[in-house]
Amino acid sequence: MKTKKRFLRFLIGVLGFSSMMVSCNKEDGDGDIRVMYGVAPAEYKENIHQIDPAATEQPLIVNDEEQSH
Amino acid sequence: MKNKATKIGLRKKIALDLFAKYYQQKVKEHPLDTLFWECTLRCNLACKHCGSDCRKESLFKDMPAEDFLRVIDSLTPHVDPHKVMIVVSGGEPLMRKDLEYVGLELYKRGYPWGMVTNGMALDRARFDSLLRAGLHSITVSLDGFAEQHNAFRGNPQSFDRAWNAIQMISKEEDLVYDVVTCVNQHNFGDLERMKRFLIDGGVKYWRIFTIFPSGRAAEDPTMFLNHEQTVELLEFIKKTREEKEIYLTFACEGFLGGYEAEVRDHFYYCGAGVNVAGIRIDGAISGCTSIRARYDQGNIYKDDFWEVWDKRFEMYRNREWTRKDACKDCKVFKYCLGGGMHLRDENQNMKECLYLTLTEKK
Ligand code: SF4
Ligand code: SF4
Repeated sequence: MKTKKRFLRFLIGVLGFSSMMVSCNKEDGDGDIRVMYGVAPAEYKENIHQIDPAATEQPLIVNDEEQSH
Repeated sequence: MKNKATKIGLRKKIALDLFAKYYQQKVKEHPLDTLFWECTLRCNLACKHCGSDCRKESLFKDMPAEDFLRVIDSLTPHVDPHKVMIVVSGGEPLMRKDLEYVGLELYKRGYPWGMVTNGMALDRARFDSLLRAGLHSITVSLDGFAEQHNAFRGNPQSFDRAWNAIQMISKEEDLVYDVVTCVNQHNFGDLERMKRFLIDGGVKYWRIFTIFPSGRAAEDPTMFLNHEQTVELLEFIKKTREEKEIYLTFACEGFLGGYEAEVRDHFYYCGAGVNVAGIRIDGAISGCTSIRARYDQGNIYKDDFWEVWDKRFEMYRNREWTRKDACKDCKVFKYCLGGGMHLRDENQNMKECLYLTLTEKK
């Protein structure tokens, strides 16, 4: 099934719609679909932000003023 | 009226036919790669054009984090977590104080995660906290300059807060982001100026969508573009993409005829139930949180998520039921399959078709 998809994508690329062949962050990508209220899809990256495990123990800043009215 | 939408050249037609076959393969595989979580319906704003039914105090309680994480744990053996993007949506996700906790748990399990926000509560401290929880991607809404944005959002500070948030995120290396704008009668005339403003402000990624009759927006006709404006909007997107100063794309709002692959990177398809799933505030398992009609396929409090994803979703994966009314004899049905699921109402009738607006067949 994967091969068929790849072949179809190749043909679409040959027709000049090369962006369809480019994987947008995804190995098997078919262009990057951004749904209406969705976010830009992101690839998983190891430790890009050097997560501090204590992060969740810190008080989380929420604008309580906004929440309360 | 004749415009680019009405005419699809031969080369594009062949490519679209191939893509339709490609899509069928994708349906067979239905590889889940985007999972929405409607984590709260509370919101700190009350936007005129909001497609969801949020209130400052929602009738629904936020879903407990543990309930959602239980679903994630049941999903993990069936997928490669690195390839399933979890999108936290709402309501306003920042209303939840445990968002970072959930984010970090997702990160530990190997899932990239992102969120959509109005930016109101996104100050430096909160942003740093989210980054530490492994935030991969973020979308901030900006619906024009201060006057319009604040009017839509019903809050005099909303523009400044959103813009501050955008400035902050656009400087963050390794974070995928975009600014999303709902284009309507009020901000339509400002698009060029807005483009300049974003470029000058260092923004590189911008996404536009038009409004559809849903939620609060349904009652206000000034929220919708007419035929001429829709054509002009697509021309604007096309031109901006050619200029390459900012990456601009149009959301998945239906088939666009000759504009296909010119205002987005890919051909139109509705990924709901094909590669996109959503978990709603009450636990309902659906195709995409933009769908407001109850096309639920199960509920996390009763069913196994993966069972539902793998075995149900028939109405999402076979769209023959949409072949009625205007779609019945539509000559582009094979490419469009009756449009996005979010554009269908409770009775499965079509609420809006951009292609018909573009070709003025309605
Ligand atoms: S009439 Fe139906 S099939 Fe034709 S473009 Fe509109 S939504 Fe798609
Ligand atoms: S339901 Fe609408 S927003 Fe969701 S994937 Fe389909 S076309 Fe896109």
